[in-house]
Amino acid sequence: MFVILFITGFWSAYLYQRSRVKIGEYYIRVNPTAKINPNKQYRLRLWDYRLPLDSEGTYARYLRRAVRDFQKQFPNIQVEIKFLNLLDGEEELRQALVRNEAPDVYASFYSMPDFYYLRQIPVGPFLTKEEKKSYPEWIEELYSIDGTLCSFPRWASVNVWVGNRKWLEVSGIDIAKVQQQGWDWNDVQKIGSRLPKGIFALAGYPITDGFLQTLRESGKRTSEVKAILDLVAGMAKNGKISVKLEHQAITGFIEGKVACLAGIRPLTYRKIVEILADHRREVQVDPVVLPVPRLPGFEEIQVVDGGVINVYRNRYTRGDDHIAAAMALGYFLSTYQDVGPWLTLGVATFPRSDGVAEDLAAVMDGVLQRSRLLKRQGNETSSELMKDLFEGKRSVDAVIEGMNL
Amino acid sequence: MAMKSVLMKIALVGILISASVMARANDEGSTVCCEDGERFVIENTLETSQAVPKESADLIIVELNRFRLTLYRNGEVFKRYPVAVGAPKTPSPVGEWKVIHKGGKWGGGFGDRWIGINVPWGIYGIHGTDKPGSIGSRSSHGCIRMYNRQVKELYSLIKVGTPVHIIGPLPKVALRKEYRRNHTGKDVVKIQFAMRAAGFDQGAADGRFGPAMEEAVKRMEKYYGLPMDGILGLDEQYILGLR
Repeated sequence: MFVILFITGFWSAYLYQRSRVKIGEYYIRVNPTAKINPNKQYRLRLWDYRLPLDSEGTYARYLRRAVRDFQKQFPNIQVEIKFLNLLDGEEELRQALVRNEAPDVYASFYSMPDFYYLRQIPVGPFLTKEEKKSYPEWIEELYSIDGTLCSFPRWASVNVWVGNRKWLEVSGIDIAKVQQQGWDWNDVQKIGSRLPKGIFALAGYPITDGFLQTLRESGKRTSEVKAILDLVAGMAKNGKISVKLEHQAITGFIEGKVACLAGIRPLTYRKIVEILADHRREVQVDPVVLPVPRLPGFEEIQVVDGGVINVYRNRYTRGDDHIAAAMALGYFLSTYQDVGPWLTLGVATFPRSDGVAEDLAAVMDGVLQRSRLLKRQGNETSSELMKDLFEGKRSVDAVIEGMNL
Repeated sequence: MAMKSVLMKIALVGILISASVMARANDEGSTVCCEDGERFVIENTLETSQAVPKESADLIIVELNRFRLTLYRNGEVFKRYPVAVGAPKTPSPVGEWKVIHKGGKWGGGFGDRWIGINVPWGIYGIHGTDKPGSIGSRSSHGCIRMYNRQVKELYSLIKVGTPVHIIGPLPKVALRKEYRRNHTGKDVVKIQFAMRAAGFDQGAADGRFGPAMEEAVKRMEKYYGLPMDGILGLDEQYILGLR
């Protein structure tokens, strides 16, 4: 009798433990060992964005082809695709999560939604060791909470700066060294001193480089943060950072009036290169890609953007095998061999591809290898704070206060 | 019996009201000047608010280089007519328009029927002619001229709201530094085509910077990581390859 009770209790405890996953202090009830039932029909809802990308046709065609390839492996899984608008897709997901009507699989674009404890299923426990090898360690760390991978990485990217070779050389900047080893804001400050009148050292969107997020998460004391902000505010005050050009930063760069363009996505860099390749232009500019400068005296910290694939539970979920089916789709899409669309974006892909332009890949790889990486936190307040600082509408102390260090 | 009487009264009141409205509409003929230079009275003008596009499987395509107008119905060629198009100095408006006005017979240079389209920078339309010899040439002030019997047939086939796509070379236009909501013009059409080619379609290329175009501009800004203000400035124009 005692033995029977012991065995029953042991199995109950074992099954209970097996059917939940711990994320931080929370337990998520799901059985990661659940398998897809080949005799059962599954219907999954997949949300992705309507992207203006070309890979043998439109992105919509690309995704449908990927899903068809997935269904060759899993003919019993039907996938219903919904394309979201780039502008309000994230809001649509948020509302769907609240209504418990989120899709089974959601693919993001240039955003990594915060982990939604109530309905999101972490993906790590569903992956075999072999499958986990599909992703580099750094990206696994970036998308993990307490060591558990929460999203399937699809691609990752860091912002870059674009420099005008002529003006950087005039300023004594060793371009090759900067590209290989990085640089800091003190180097940026040097640019302005030797430029002819009417040429700006910096224009663009340093706000989007995650400047304040980096400062906030650097672990530095308030006095050190203040010194950095003083430096940047000083550059803006001396006219070395062009606030006026904020909405014409790319134009200023193309017309040769700007030495460095900040806060640029790789695909925008590619576009700028394409525009400048037109030799009929009156002003010839030789663009060079540069890493985002680190804060002086700080270790190199980079904010990473990405496209991820999340798996959610919803009111239509029928058992853990349904979640296993969603996981299979998520993993398939995140490691789909045709990375054509992501090459268009000029981002790092998984599986890795050599198709990204050499100059861009060299700088990005260096940054990803030597930096401490942070997942981008979308923060409107940070943008406003920095904008006000550049425009002289807010003091450094006020910005620090707004940062809630 | 009483019920029948009430219904009769309601019907009579309805007829009287509709008759008075019709009469007033016909009396209020307003005078406009067409791009073809002549002043005339518009009959049965439809206000823009009334000219809401109706569900229609019809589409008119005017090919300027081929001097022909094709009416497509459910994706199939339904009718095809020869036309005269704008002269080089007064080109026909390339873009994606809608029929907003079926003006009946205007006579004179406008022939037996007038079909107005919603070009925002002038009054343009498809009409008949008293110069049938001009068909097949670039000779109009921008309107699309047809043989009278053919324009009458087309008139009877289409409805207000039918899309009219005029296909041809876009005119060379100087671009403004900045475009925002409510801007209109040939340059806006050019931008709309460029945005579509870049994957940021905003619907019909109708020369109007409306809410849909503003949203498309924001989508483009979001995609390229630019500040999302919905204003199409120089940076966006460079990205679209317009500069």
